[in-house]
Amino acid sequence: MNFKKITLVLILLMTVLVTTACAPKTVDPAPVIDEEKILTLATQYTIATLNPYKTSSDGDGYIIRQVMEPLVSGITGDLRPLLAESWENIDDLTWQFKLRENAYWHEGNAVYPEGANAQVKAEDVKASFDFVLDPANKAQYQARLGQVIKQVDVVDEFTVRFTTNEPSAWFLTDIHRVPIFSLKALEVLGQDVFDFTPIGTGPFKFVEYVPDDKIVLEKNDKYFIEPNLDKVIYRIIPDQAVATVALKTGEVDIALQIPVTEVASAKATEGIRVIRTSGGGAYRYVAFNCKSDLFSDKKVREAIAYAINMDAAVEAIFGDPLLGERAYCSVVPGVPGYSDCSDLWEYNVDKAKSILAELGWTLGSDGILQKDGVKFSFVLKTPSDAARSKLGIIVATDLKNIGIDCKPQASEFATLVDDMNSSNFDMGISGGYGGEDGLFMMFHSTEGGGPKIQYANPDVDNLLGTAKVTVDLEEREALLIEAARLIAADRPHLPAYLEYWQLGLSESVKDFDEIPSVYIPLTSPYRNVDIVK
Amino acid sequence: MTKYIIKRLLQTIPTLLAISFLVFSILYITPGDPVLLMLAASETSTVDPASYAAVQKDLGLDKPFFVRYVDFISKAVQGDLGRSYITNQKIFPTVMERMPATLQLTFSALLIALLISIPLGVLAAIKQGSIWDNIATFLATISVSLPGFWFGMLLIIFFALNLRLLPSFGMGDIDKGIGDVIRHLILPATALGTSLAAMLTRMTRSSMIEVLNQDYVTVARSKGLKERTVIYIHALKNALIPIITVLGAQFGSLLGGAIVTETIFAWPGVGRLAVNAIGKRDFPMIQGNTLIICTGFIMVNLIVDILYGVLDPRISFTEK
Repeated sequence: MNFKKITLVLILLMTVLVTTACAPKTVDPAPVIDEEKILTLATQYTIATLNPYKTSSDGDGYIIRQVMEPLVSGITGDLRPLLAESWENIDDLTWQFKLRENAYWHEGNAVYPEGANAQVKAEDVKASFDFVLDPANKAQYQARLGQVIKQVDVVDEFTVRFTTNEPSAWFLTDIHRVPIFSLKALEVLGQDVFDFTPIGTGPFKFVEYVPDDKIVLEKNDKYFIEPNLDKVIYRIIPDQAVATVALKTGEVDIALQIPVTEVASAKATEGIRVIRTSGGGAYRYVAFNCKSDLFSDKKVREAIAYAINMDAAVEAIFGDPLLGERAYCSVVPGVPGYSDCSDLWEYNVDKAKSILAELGWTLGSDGILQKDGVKFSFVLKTPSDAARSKLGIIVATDLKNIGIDCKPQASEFATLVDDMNSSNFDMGISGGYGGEDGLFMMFHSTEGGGPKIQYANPDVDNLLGTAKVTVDLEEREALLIEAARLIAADRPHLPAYLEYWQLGLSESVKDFDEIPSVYIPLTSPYRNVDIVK
Repeated sequence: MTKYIIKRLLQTIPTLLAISFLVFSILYITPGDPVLLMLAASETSTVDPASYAAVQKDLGLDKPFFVRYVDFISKAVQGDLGRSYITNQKIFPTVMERMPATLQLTFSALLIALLISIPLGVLAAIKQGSIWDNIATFLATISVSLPGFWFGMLLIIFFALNLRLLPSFGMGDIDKGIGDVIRHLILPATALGTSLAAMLTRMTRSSMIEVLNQDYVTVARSKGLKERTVIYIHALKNALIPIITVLGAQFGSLLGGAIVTETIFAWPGVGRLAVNAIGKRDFPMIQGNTLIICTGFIMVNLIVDILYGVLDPRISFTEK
């Protein structure tokens, strides 16, 4: 082959590449076939499973919740009937649910052929819960639900009754985690196929899952409300910045998470809106290990609280209330137990210094406080996300000003969770529980969960323990508020901020904003999302 | 030749054993507990000790290190790499299902790298010291220094967002035609191939310069052969030998680069699988994935070694 031929081949190859690349002047918009209404969403989460009783990931839930229905659904503090039509408390221990009589298992699959007309009845609900409650089945929420639910009974064809072990304040929250699934499907499909082939009663039927690429759902014609959308396609895009680009180019209609750095540019793009995702925000805080040598004394914690200018820190981190706001209370606004605790916090460096001086801490020659030969020096463990690692640096800087040697150390997430959950820290930055049982989980000395801050106040335990078994909302709320204020005064946490997530959506997406989440069905008695291009 | 290949194949066994031991050990000492992650322990919840113990036993994580390692190896030699902790899917089919996507990306990157580097390197060598040489060297230096994730993002912003010429993410759909596949491939393959192109350009240049100064090239010229024939038939073929060596070695780094590129471009390949597995401490998936990729890498190097003989008959595989 001579020089000319080689050159020719190279030129041809390059031309093919370039012309193929440049031929169409526009990028594929979200695919439109005839008049089909297709909603394309970008999700950052890889699918771990589409099995409702095994999943623990929000990303899986985004899909499962469109296909399968729990008895009730909604956001914290606002749970509404879904597969159930209504419910009543017969007494403090008994919850009775009346099911919708127009719910059918999805058809056109290996389990239920077209025209099967298999209705979902009370026995199906009982079967789902019995299955989840059986430890042998290793369901994700078995441990938690097992503590709450004593038994499930069929009252009649469409009525199911739950008996709890003790009065349960958070019963609805607990059962909303369990979408009702078909045991027949598990039997027919076998475990491996069942794990990735959800069959339910929801507004959308599962069509296809291409690993790490996309999930396709289509409308369920037998749903009691006709969905406006014909298809819902989830594209898995791990990089949120790329998902934002895809939203701007029209390749997706909704980007489920817009990173903080892209919010301004997305907002400035014509035809795109950026809104907060539903929920009151994620509570972020600085936690003390209340049994560590340095922080077991409440007065030391108080001094630290005085020394940190948290308002300035939050302003420096976010600078936009759409992204994050100062928190004063360990409960998220909108959740029972929230109260404005801003009166309990003050930035006052002099007070901080004088408290520490009273406790015997004196400045050493190196500018660091010391007492009995021990330096006031410790590591502040933080997650590696931008906001919380910044918070760590700001806290450390404020503490340096009063002679405390605080070394912020950002850790990889799993490592941090390990350390925090095993009390292997002096001070750490973490994220809180946004649910109704948040205070209980974070601060109950023996039955709580999450980071082990080793905080124990019998009064708080008592209030939280009573709240847990108080079904009446008003009574419960009063107990929780009292607990929240007691906790704030004890300073096991320094509440920092509520962090909000943003999602971006095209102007063509309609009826989505009221509950801006896909953890809740896109078609339900409360909304019917549409796309009008 | 056959003897040589068999010998080389046998040599891969200790290599793979060493790799598996290394990966196993690193995972063992890495902080982060897969049991807690499986039970969805997070900042906001802890798990009940009974469930913890049950899952730990289920996964075999209650056994000592060496027992677990021997278990793993004895199953692996039978072709059973186990199941993922997270998805409970079998490792081997899960990795192999994503392999075509990764191979498509890496070979396209390789092609792009070769299409750029060989002509540019040859040009720089035959016009040594000229403006062409300077441009080639400059481009090579810049490209080799570009961080892959940054360059990938830059390509997306420029070609997908600003010019709207190419899609910003994902793999093409063959049902929509080969054009769709190529259009989805161009940006990730370019992002992945650029730094290799830079390296190969410099290699080609120096290798060509060396070969062009050899006596046989002078002889070829003195015989009155055309300069093009001298360059492309006599010189380039010999200059390619060290380049092919580098290519074999660089195939591994292309696979490594694919991890970043696949994540940025939402490319459903083996690299994405590895990233997810690492994030979730999915030990069997990380081990299986690494072993499969390493085996592929060793095979590519073996093929490269065999290619030497084809390109340069002086290299013999028989023992003397």
